[in-house]
This record gives sequence, structure tokens and C-alpha cells, in this order.
Amino acid sequence: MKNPESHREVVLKAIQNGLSSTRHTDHPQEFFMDLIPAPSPQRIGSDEVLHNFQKMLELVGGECYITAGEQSLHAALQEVLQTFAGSAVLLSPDPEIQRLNIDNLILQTSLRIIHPTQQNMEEAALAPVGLTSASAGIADTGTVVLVHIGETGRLSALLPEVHVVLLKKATIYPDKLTFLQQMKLARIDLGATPMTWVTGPSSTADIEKVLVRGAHGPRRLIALLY
Amino acid sequence: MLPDPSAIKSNIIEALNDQRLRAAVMKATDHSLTKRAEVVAELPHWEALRSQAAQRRQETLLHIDEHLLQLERKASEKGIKVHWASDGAIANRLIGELCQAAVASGMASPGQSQPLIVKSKSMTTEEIGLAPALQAQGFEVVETDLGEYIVQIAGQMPSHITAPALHLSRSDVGRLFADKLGVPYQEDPVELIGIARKILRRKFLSADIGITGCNFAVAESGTPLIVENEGNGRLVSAIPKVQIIVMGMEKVVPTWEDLMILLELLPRSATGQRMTGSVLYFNRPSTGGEPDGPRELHLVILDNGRSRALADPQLRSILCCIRCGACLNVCPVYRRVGGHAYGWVYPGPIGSVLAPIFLGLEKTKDQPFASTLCGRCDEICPVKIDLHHKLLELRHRIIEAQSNWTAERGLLTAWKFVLDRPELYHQLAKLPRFLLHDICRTLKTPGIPVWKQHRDSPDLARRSFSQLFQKEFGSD
Ligand code: SF4
Repeated sequence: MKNPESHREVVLKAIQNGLSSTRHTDHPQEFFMDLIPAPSPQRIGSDEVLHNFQKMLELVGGECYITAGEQSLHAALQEVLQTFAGSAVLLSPDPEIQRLNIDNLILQTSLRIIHPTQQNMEEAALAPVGLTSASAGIADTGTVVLVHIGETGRLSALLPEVHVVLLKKATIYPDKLTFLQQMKLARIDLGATPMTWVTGPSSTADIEKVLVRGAHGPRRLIALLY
Repeated sequence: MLPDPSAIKSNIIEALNDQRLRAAVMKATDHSLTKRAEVVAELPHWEALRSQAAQRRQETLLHIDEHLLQLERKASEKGIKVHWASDGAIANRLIGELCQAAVASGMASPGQSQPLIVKSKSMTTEEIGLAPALQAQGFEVVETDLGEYIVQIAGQMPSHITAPALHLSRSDVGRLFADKLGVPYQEDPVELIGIARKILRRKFLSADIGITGCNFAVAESGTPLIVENEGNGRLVSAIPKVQIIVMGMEKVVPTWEDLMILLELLPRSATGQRMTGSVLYFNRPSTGGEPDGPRELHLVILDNGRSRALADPQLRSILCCIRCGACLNVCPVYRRVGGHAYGWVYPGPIGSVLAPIFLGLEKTKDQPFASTLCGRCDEICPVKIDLHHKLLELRHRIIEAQSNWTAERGLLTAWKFVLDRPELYHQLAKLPRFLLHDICRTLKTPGIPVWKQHRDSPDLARRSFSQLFQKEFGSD
């Protein structure tokens, strides 16, 4: 029983023996291919969808600001970061953050940038705020989709008490199924890279079902839409 | 308390006398049910979703080997190391070896005298007793879900599938923390959570190995995933360089569409949320240039009795279960006695069906009887498992297996004889009306079945229904 191969065979054989009596009498039924519910008819990134996203995120204790575009995003971000003047901000240098020139914006504030890694975690864990972009949003649950690839890690969105997430309006989908279908159409393999769907600040209700925001992860989640 | 599913009867008697426990369980389960009802009411297609999920889960089971093989292939292609374990002991040994290897290879930091394992909540690892097994091998194992952490330092088992410390009040937790952690007594949940967060944050930052469960695994893309709220699962899978995922083999789902359906059902049924705080897709280990995440990612596929359920057409669909815990919340037995009384990691209706399958009928013969067969579990189950039929079927098998039921058989034969003869039935039916009060009084005397000691005997009307009916509506 030392050889791991044999455990695999044992399990597979147990399954096959178990099913043998049923399988040949089984008439494989067609799955309902019409999924319930049907994906929403709302347009991706439409005002209706953005407002729904905002509403749902706020319902789970998140904060959401819909800015007019990239210009006003910068102003809004500056305002948010002002609260943390003098301390450090965790920043994942992902392509979108670079494109938006966020480094520069932060350099104009009195905040220090830390790129968190498994090596500087002790220091990173002291930063009060983290900043990331998101790959997509899902409106009907107020969810942001974080993809961890290349230099875009998990820690900026996770270690600090406050997570500020930048989300492009055009990537906000009305619901999960629309998101899934669009990814399939665009031939984006959701199984290719590690991914986290975040819905609101971290929370727990483990003591007497009292909802406490800020369990192990962020206490505040601030989404800036642009 | 040591897990002992055969002690359920005496545990229940004890639990029934614990007013505080009952109040805590009632309050918590009511809270969950209210929240669930709110978010379920938002979805007009809820029932259709349940049917769809039930059908797809059952269909999946019939080809589960193919789905598991696809999962294995896809996951391996992406660098996830896939392992199989036919039972808990094998899984524990295998995971122990993986942890030892991580230490030996320097993946786990060598400076530590005792390598540190952080765990996110996983009922499957509770089922196989993984944490104690690893502790016995010299690892420090820390549960990081706050509820799990509380029961771990209390030396208890979780008492609910999704809310492990549901049986404890805030003052219980306050006393526990004062006692075990040496902090001043307080009972504000925010303060208590803050204390635990601080302690556990230190653990996370120095953790060597992360262990998670697995809520689902998508076969078509080789994606194991978990759902969680606290962010502890995120830390467990971000900081340690080695991560081990333990997966009950029935958690496989063929496609992302299946997953989307289940993600609609699970958070709503479990915690009354539209979506959990996070869904973590463990798609591959992280590569050299990436700043965090596990460099080594293992997936352990566990049988441990599941193939026995698969081989049993009447019980098979129990494997559709997505461990939402809703059947516990509605169960009139669970609500009165809490989870520990069942003496096993899975309590409530789901546990009473799983116990005989996983542990054998011998040790668990009282489990399927801890039910009123009211059927509320069937009504609430998001994947429409006919739990109470399964409990009935197991009762049947347990009775059949008993050698000493000749008396029962005799009684039932006599009963059938009477039922077949309406006139005789009517005559005999009059008899107990005179005797009932005496019978009830006798039942109250010690030594007579316990259930009677907690019940009052009803006062009988002077006339029976059929007598009244006759009188009112004539002779027919
Ligand atoms: S049996 Fe149904 S209700 Fe009970 S835990 Fe499983 S999925 Fe939930």
C-alpha cells in the first residue's frame, strides 16, 4: 500500500464496481442545457448594472464610488488615500495599475509604496491600506474578481485593514452566468490562473451569529469604478 | 468530548436537560433560517434551481470516475499534484508524508523547531481526524476559522457543519479566552474576534504549510475551490509555500455551469448570503516570479466510504450533499440537542445518514432514529436529497439486521390481523379509551421509555370522533 498508484486504482475500482449494476440500465439524460436562471438581458457596464453593483456591494458592507472616468478616478483615489497620509500602502504592480500611472499619483502623496511578497510580509502586514485593480465585477452579488498572475499577488488585497479596488465599468457583468458566458466567448480559460472572487469586507458571525466585519482580511472594501 | 456516535442516546438525554445549550442552538438556527428565507424569496426560480441542481448532481454521480479522471488530468497539466486516498488513515499518512517532505526540502522554513500548519475550515479533515494525526507527528496545527479556533482551544468538536461554535454563547467564549489565552474576561464579540485575529495573524505570517478543504472541484478546468467569509482561507492559500487541498471525491462538478448553479444555492442555504465573502479558485501553484501563493499545490481525493454510498442506489444521492447545514437548522431534533449529542463530526439529518454508511451500522444503529421523520430536511435541502426516506431505509436495515425482533414481528402480525377486520378494529379501538389514563400513569414510572418522561398525556374527549360523527350525520 506504499505505492500511491495503488490507492488511485483502489478508489477507481471501488467506484466502478459500485456503479456497474446501475450504469448499463442507466439512460443518460440530457442535462437541462437551458440554465436557470437565464443570463440577465442587462448590458455589461450599463448604468443599471453599475448601480446594481453599487447597491449589492453596499448591502454587504462595502463602499462603492462611481467616478466619471479615469480623470476623476485619480481625484477620488487621492481623496481616499489622504486618510492614510504618512503611512505605507501595499500596491500590486499589475498592468492596469501601471497603465493608470498609480505609482506616480501615490508619489505625490506622503504615502510609501510597498510591493508585498512572501519575503517582506512582516513589514507589509503593518500597512493600513492596500490597492489593487480587479479584472471584473459581478453586479447581482456585488462581487469583484481578482486574478493572481505575474506580479499581481494576493497580499495587497488581503493583509491591510482597508482594501481599495479599482474596477473598470466596462468589465462589470450583470451576473455570474453572463460573466461565465462572456469569458467562454472570449476564450478566456477561468481555470488557467489563480482567482479570488471577493464580495464585501471579510466578516464572521461565529460568536452568537453577531456579524463582525473585519475578521482575518480587510475590514473595509472600497471600490472605485471608472 | 471524544467522538462516539454510539453514545447518541445518552448524549441526547443529557443535552435535553441543558437549557442554555438549547437556547443557544435555537437562537442561532432561527437566525440562519430567517436570513435564508429572505434571500431565497428574492429568487422566483429557486425551486427550478433546486431541481436543476439535484438532477445535475445525480447525473454527475453516475459518471463520477470519468469526472475525477478529467479533474486529475486537467489539474496535473497545470502543476497541481493529485493524490488519491481510499480511507482516512491513508489520507492522514499521505498528508503527513507531504508535510514531512515539505520540511525536508526546505519549503517549510527550517528555523522552526516545530513546523507550523495553518488550516482553513474543512469538515472533511474533521471527518478523517487530520489535525490530531499531524499533531502526533510533531506538527503544530492551528485552525484559523474563528469558530474552529474557538472549538479547537476548547478541546471540542465543531457542533455544526457551517458554524462550528454555534453552541457557545459570548460569555462562554469570553471565559474560554480568559482561561486559555490569558486575556482579561470580556464578552463583546467584536473584542473577542479582535483578540483571535491578532493571535492568528502572527500564526499566518510564520506558517509553513496551509491545509484547506474543497467545496467543489471543476473537472473541465481542473479547478478545486473553496468558499469562505473570514479571509482565513485566503491567508492559508497566500502565505505558506505549500498548500494541501483535501477533497471528498463527491465534490467534483463537471462544468463551470454546474458550479454557477451551486454557488447560487450554497451561500443562500448555508448562511443566508447571496454570495460568500470570498470564493477561492486554486487553479495552479504560483510560479517563480509571483510574489505569493503556494509554490507546491497538492490535491488529495478522498473516498473514505463514499464509494460504498455510490454502490447503494437507495442511498447514493446522499453524495449530492453540498454541506450547507440547512437540514440541521430545521431539524427539530438537532435544534433541541445541538451537534455534539450526535457524537460525530456530521450531526443532524445529513450526519445520521452518513454515519451508518461511513462507520458501519453496528456503531451507529441509533443515529437514524434521531429523527421525527417530519421531512423538513427534504423540503429545505438545496439539492433535494430525500433525507427522511434514507433515514427510514436505514432504520429498516438496522431492524432487519437485528436477530431479536421476533416479538416485534409477532406484534405487527397481530396488528395486521386486526387492521384487516374493520369490525374487530372498531371494537378493540374502544378499549384504550378506558385504559389510557392508567396506561399513561404507568408510563411515567421509572424504567419506562425515556421519551415518555418528557411528555404529558393528552386528555381524551369523552366521545371518540367516529361516535360524534355518527351522532351528527346519521347512521352511515
Ligand atoms: S443534506 Fe442537503 S440540506 Fe443537508 S447539508 Fe447536505 S445539502 Fe445541505
